[in-house]
Amino acid sequence: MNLLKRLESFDFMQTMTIVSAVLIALVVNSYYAFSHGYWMVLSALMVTQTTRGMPTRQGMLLLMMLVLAVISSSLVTENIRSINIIDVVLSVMFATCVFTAWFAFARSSKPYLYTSLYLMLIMIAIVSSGSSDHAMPGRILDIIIGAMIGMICSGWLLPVKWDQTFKSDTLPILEAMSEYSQVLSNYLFSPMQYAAMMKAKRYQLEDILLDQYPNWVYEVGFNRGLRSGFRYFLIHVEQMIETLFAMEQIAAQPLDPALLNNLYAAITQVMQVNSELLAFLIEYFSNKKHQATTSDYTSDVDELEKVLQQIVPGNLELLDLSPHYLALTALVRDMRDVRHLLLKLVFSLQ
Amino acid sequence: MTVIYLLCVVLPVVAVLFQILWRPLTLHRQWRASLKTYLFDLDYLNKDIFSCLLQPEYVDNIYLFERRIHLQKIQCLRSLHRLREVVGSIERRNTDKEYLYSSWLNQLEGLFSNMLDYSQLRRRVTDYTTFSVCSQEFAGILQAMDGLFECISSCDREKLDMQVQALKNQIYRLEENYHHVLQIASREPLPFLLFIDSLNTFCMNMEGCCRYEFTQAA
Repeated sequence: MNLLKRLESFDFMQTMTIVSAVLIALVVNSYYAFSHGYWMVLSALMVTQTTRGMPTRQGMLLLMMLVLAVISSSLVTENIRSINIIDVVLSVMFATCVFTAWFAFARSSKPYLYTSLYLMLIMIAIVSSGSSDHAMPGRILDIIIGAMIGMICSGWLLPVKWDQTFKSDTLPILEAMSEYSQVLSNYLFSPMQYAAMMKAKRYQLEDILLDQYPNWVYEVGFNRGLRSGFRYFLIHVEQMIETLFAMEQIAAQPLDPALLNNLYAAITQVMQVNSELLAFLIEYFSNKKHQATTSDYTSDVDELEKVLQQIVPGNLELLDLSPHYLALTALVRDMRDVRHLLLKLVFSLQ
Repeated sequence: MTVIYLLCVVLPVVAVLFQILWRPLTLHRQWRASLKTYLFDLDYLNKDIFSCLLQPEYVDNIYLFERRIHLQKIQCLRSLHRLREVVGSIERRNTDKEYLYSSWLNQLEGLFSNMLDYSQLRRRVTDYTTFSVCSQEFAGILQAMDGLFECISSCDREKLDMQVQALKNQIYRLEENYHHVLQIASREPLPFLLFIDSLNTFCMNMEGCCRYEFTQAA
């Protein structure tokens, strides 16, 4: 099952696309190359290095960059005759390339990444043999053929299955959220005991958000039919994470244990139903069959609010008499919001 | 070719040697640089959150505003990650200040959660026209917070008390507005009360962060 999942994953599909595009380009290059280099292979390799959202648009952008790099290198070699000056130009380009690559890595910035790629391609074009004006048309033709091979491979041979990719990208976030929520329900009542575990789960969730969040859904030009649904889901997931983090923040404050204990049963019940709903989402995203549940998803939250009203003053003007009253009210409100968001997410799947 | 050789081999080797030799001294500098970045990112996140409350276009362009908030949150998490790495390096060196840095880090993490807490107002209030009743107070709070972030980043002790007081005044003005207008005019007054409470906690946490800052500076 795991092997099948890996075979269907975007990473594997992209690797296969790259391999097939490069192999086809190698064969075509050996028979029909217009220049004597491997520009067709390089072009096929570059054009297949796209993200999930918009492979054709990014492929076209990379193709334009390759063509521009070849033209720029020809301009440099044709106009600068001294080898020493070319050395200096190459050194400056290398330094700028390293600098921009470092910035692209540090800031995850696409403009920096594309600048460093562009500079790198110019350097390759200058250093490789036959970088004169006569070689330029042949190189450009090779690049266009290579790009076509790459785009055909990524678009038709092994196209991206967006629904599967979205599911596999969102699943780790939901799983981390579920684990975080489970530890949070214990942390609310014994913060000292669960502090370390809470921190670990929070870091895990943050790391997943940093590394695996499906940002490709927001790429310009992404499938119009799918994007609103995907974005709706992601925005609600994020709002839920915000609420969970806010709950942790409230739980870290010194809350009156006597007041909190009065809410113990009701809070535990709500958190349990929340876990059930999260489990439902996880099962849906991992294509498993869901177990039936007996909860109606609203009565437990109503019950929690009823218990709260018995503990804290019902009048809003009296609520800010004690910070404990406010903190408990905020906590219950957060729980209600989490439920509301979870139900929205579940309904959005139908 | 000599220039390329110099750039490719000699300079990186010299840079690595310097990094190893000066590492003990640079840890605090790394912390300061990462802290500055984090505060800068938090400031921007705060601006994005308040733009949802201040700009009436939010209702029609929720995806755009939420996307901005998401990107800024990711920047904050990245800076926080970097801060944790620096604290990890300090802890590995077993200095006497490691406890100070880790509790400082906890306080800074709290600021982020706190910000997410009060940002929930944008979602909890369904009638967005209510925000226009207190838009001046929101703008005042945003300005005071902006000044406070700037103050901590530049380690300006003289201005700090003034900025904290300015923020407290602005929160007080919103509180007054809540008691006299919002509680009556708004269909959902509770989210505003929770928002004010969260802002007060934020102000307190910021003061805590400043204390760490100046303990370290001393």
